[in-house]
Amino acid sequence: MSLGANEAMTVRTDASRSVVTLSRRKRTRYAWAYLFVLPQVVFFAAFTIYPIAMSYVYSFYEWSGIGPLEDSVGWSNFSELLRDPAFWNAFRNSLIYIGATAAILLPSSLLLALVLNRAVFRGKVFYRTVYFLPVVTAASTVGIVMKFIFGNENALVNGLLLKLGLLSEPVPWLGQAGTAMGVLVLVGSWKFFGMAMVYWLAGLQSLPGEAFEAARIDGAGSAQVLRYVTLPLLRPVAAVVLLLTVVNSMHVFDLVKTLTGGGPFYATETVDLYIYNYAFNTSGFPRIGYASAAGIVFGLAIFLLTLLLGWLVQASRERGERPRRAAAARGGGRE
Amino acid sequence: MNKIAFGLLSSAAAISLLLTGCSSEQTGSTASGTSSGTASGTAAADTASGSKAPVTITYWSRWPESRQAIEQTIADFEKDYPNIHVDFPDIVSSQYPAQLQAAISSNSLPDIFANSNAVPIDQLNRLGLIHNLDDVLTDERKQQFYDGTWTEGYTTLDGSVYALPHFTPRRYSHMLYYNKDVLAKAGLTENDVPKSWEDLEKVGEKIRQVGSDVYPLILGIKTDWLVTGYIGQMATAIKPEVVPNDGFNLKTGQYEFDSPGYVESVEFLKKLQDEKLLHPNSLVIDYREASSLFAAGKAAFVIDGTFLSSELQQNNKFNDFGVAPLPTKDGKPSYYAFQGETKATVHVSKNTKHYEEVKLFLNYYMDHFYVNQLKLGVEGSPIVEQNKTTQVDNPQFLQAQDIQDKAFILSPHPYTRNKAAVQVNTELNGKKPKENVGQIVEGYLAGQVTDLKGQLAQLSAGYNQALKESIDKVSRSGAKISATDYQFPNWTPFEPYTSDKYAELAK
Repeated sequence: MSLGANEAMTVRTDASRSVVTLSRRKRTRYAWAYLFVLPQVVFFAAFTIYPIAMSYVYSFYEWSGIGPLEDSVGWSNFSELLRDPAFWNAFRNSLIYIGATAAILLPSSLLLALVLNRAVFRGKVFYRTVYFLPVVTAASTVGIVMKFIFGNENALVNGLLLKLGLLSEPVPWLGQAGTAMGVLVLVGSWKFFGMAMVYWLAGLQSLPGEAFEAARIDGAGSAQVLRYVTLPLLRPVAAVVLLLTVVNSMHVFDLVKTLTGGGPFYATETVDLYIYNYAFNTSGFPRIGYASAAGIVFGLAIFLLTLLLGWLVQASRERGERPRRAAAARGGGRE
Repeated sequence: MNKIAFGLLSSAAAISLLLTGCSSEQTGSTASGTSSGTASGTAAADTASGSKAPVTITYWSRWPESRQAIEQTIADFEKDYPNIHVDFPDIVSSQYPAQLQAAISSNSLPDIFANSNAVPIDQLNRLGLIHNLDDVLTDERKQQFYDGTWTEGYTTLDGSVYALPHFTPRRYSHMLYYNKDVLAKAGLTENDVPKSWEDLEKVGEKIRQVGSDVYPLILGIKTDWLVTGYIGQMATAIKPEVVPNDGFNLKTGQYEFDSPGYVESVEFLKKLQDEKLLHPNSLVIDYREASSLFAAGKAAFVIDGTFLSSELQQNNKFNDFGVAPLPTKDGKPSYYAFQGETKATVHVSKNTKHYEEVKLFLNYYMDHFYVNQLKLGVEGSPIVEQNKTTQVDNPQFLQAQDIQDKAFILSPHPYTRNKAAVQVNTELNGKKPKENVGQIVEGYLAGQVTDLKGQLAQLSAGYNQALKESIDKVSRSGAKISATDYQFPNWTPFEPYTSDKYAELAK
């Protein structure tokens, strides 16, 4: 049975009407979606895109931030910056801070997450909250409080170590280059510790239970489960925690400003503080153009570092899938 | 995971609310302070003697030591002029340049605002941001001030007044404050207060016997501008040709931070540190933390500016102290160069909508604020007569003022010789090296700077290079100025450099 020409026409017209109706609906939905997104786009353009774009413009001017942009200096801000040992010192300090906090945070927060993840552990919620507390405390507050704790004579840390007999005389923790950076790294790590721990906990709770069950049936002990099951499965999570820790450490500013002020003698000055000191110099003319050039160079460096870490995350995900698939296959086989 | 996240987020939200509760209130107050300068009030065209419509004018200050005297003046002013409210927001002095910078960029300067090194008067005027004050500071008024107050590039431009002094122009010099109680505990009297470095070491050993946590000297090394100042002043007792104000050798026309004066003064501090005569906290604290520890009896001496006496009395509620001249290498006198400049001034925004009210306030300021400040023992008045007639019952303040007056000696200034030097200063400001002597002192005491003379020589070279480039640039723009305008071969340090000396050079 075939359709007549008229019937066929009617069906086609109905179909095209429904297409038109659908596309109208779709368009309306799109319009609403764009309307809802618009405020965010406007704010993003005004407060993120515009400042970034303008910092590229400023970097080619000798400009104090006041008055018209008149004194174009070409690439001289960049060449001066790249020749400035203080910039490279700040760059090095930033890298040291990033590397050291990651080295401390990753294993220590994983260890605690493993402990807090155990079902038998009592008061888990309390401890999780306690460790998370520094994350929500303002970095500047932490800096000021820690300055009093690590300050020299009569301060808490020295007093305690002297009483315990671990020190024979007070140590100027914030008055020596090495110890000042050490304190900064420790405090910075402590501040982000709770966040890293939450990432690990989330990762631990998303691991497939079958793999652990299978390992236990195979007779594996706790250490073996950790070594051969948990850690390999956590590799993609580790890459993400590393990425987030590094990104968090890249822009350390308020903590440095309040805890060490970048001292002693630039020993803890990070790039963010270096930029701030040029943009809002209190002892002379501010140099917004030069500070913008520093921001751009550091921004590019961060971009490259983030790309590298992004690649690491991707690679570890791919690797991480293999043991997951293998574990799933083993679990499935037993069923 | 969801339970954990919820629990953590709820706790975090509660804690963050608790922690940020106070700060949001403060932000609100500051914001109101910034906005009222241009937006508040409805009586733009009213004169103070005419309509009584309420008007708010805003005043930004950067001198914490003046706060009480300003508040008192404002309270009295508002009683006398009930329709005028003066908004006086609390501004952290270290953040003042950034705040001023932001206000200029957003065209929201307050009606009255303190000056700042970050934006020199010459630039403010070129940008059309400050009001001419000739009708406030009439010739008759101007004569009441100290000679040299109305100096080109500081308070005046092309002969017109654009800035009102806030303190006496002879400020601030540095001095040694001593804690009488600590001295007494060490069996010492005010006669034992050291005049030389050697005296300080000798006395210091006795003070160390008082207790393991009591030191002879405490300094706030983190306050680099103050350290730069007193090192420079101590250095004048060794090489007086280099003025302490900016490390400039007025004979040669070159910066000379690596002069024996600077090097030996910094080395002396290091020696005190090595001998454990300098409080170990000095390296990690600022000047106000140092003065608090001094008031708490943790040190017998502290070096600070003239303004410390009011700080100790008002904020630390401490009065058992005395003031003495700065100890120097051989006990020789030190000095500070008075170059006719007034470094602490207030400007009026050109865009103020309430100029008549501002004028009233400025006149009130001159008649009452200077006196209030004197009575509170903060600083001397820029008006000569007020210093003579105001009864001040504050021995330490008077002692400090006496030392300060003697320390200031009229010295040559390139601005007076050639007005184009004002433009050079504006050019120079952005080109100066980032470091200063105070930071190098910190580095030397922390052990990071090993070649002190080399580091100071590098600083001098950076400054001299910047000066040369700035002079060349201004010269290329058509102004007649050269490096010789910065050299004063007929100057003898410690002798007042008077106008006839400038005339002698011009021949």
